[in-house]
Amino acid sequence: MNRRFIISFAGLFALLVILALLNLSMGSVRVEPGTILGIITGSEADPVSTGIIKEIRIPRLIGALILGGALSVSGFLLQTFFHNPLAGPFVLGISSGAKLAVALAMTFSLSAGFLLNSWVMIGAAFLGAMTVMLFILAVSGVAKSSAVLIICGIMAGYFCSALTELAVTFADDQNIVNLHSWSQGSFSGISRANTGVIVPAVLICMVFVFIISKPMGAYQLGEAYARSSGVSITGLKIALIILSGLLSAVVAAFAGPVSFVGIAVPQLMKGIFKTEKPVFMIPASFLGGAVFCLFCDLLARLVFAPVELSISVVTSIFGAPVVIWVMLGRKRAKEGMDNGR
Amino acid sequence: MRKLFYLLILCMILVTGCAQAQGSASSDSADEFFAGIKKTGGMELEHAKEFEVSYYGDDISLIDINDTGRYLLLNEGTVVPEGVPEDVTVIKKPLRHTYVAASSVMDLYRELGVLNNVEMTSTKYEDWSIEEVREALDAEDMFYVGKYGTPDFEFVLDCGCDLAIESTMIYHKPQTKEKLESLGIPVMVEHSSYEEDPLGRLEWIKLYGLLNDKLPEAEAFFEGEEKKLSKIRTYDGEKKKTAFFALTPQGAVNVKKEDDYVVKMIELANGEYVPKGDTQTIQMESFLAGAGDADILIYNATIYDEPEDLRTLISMNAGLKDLKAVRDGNVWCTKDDVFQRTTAVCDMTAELGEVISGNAQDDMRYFYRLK
Repeated sequence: MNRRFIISFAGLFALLVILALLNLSMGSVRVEPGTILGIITGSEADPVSTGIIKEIRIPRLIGALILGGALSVSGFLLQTFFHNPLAGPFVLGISSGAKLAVALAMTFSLSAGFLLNSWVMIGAAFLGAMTVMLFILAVSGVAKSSAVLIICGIMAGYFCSALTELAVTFADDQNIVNLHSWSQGSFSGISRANTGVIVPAVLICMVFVFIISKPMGAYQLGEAYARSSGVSITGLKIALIILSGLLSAVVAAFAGPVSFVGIAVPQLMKGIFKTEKPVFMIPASFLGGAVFCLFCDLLARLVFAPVELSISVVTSIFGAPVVIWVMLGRKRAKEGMDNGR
Repeated sequence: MRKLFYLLILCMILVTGCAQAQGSASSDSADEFFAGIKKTGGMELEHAKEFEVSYYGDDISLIDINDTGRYLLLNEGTVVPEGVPEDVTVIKKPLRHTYVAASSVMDLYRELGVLNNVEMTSTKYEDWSIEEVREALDAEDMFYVGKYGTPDFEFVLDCGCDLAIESTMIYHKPQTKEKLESLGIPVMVEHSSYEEDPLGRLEWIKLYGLLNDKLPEAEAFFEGEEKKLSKIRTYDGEKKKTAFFALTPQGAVNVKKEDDYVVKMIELANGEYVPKGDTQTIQMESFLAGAGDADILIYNATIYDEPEDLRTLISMNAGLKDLKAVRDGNVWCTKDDVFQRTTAVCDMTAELGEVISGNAQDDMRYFYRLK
């Protein structure tokens, strides 16, 4: 591992720790660091401070950290798969599928005399996301071209969006307001019980992502090279779709659609690490996504407190310039190389 | 690679199974809980259909809100009885730090003189038209804690919130309700907007009277308002067709469903609501067909911006100019605080009666004529 990698990983990890501590210690109510430590070690008994740290800040911190990492890795997998730096986790229509399922759940639950709870919402979003992912998986068995697949993903997204609008047409005003709010994403509602599902789900996926990192590296050098190295191209493509789909479905289920993290963070990490090798980029993307989301969530909570910004507002504000900067940087580098020839 | 795929699917099924196990909740039998406590009476309700209150002695009341839940209200110092079922939320008086996220409730608190018990709201200062609420916010006796879906949980907890009153909107943000509950805050979901009878909606003041130890005052107020409405009910003569609507920015028309309490107010005021139907947003063509011969048009300015005058309204959709009510100059507009003034149901119905009977002045407390 070269010096750049060591410094970059150390820097990212340090940022992660700093931001985690800031997220833990900053909020609209002041909780002293000693009290936080006491709560974590179990020696502090003040119920208000304990509730703030254990029920509000820690679950939210874990949610932003793990889901941010998951989203970024999901984006990296798809960028590898499509050989396209602008492919994001939701380009395959996964968030649109989740939104459709949530819209249907919202619209028909109350009229059917059925009260929604958070697990039903999570289940609906996950089911919607997975349905679209299975459709993409089925298409991938027929279409050999990545371009066809990406078009099918976009079309699936449009189709789901159209059905969502159809449901909205017959929905009450309050359903429309809430659906809009859900579609902007937030880590606000993440509970301790939620983290009990988020952490194992994402970690299990991450284990499989690491398992396929070597064949991914061969695939980056071209399908012919990967095939000659003994990589099953079809199997790898299926694994990439399933893993990226599962990771982004977990995010959509628990936090709603979160924009730009999947596109911007892997690009930023490629710029920092100066490599595209999956064995480095997977942990780098996870750490980068976690850092980015912790930072954005801190701003979302604090800048206009007590009003909370939706997470996608902040990630887009910071993510969009990153993508533009990376694209321009690449163009300049390419022009430099052309002039040097 | 195939083995990898199957292994992955198996893992996800296991994780999903864990999630379902965590999400399930057991429920006890209500009979078991109440076996040891004898019901001694109930709140007398004449019009409200969406809630009931049963008394169990002097210190314990059971509030049952339709499609929402049951709440055990305990007087100060009363010990929580054993065996309270999981679906029953315990609320302990006194309630001095209430978080009101259902804006229609605030006027009931104002009427009872207990706004000082409300410490938090999810409606911004500029969106309040109740002067007393603005004053409380100015004086920092009450605080805005963010939108109802993403309130500042830390602040709410730090204030020592002893009750959160939410509207049914919260059912679409279940995480928020569950988060408040996980912080030990009882969440009561208000259901008065589902009352079909305007007096039923007003009778909810008795519930808030009970919560704030102002039940006699609530009953006296309700009795007075009921008398006002009984006068309005004596209106006779020909029923006039009345439409109540708003134009959406997309050019559609927002109307009231037939079971809405505004429709009932119009009927109480000797009007016949048009266009009939059970859809909230309809096309302009349908509206023109249904309300073309309406005698009176009332524009609902509480949803979108209010038109300055009749010309502005017609410029929003030229099709309106051919309506009978427009030709007759019988177009009215609501003032923007109509729906925050929950206690003014009878006064509003009285003004509607004057509009419908043709005896109204051009500018009244809740309605004004568009010229």
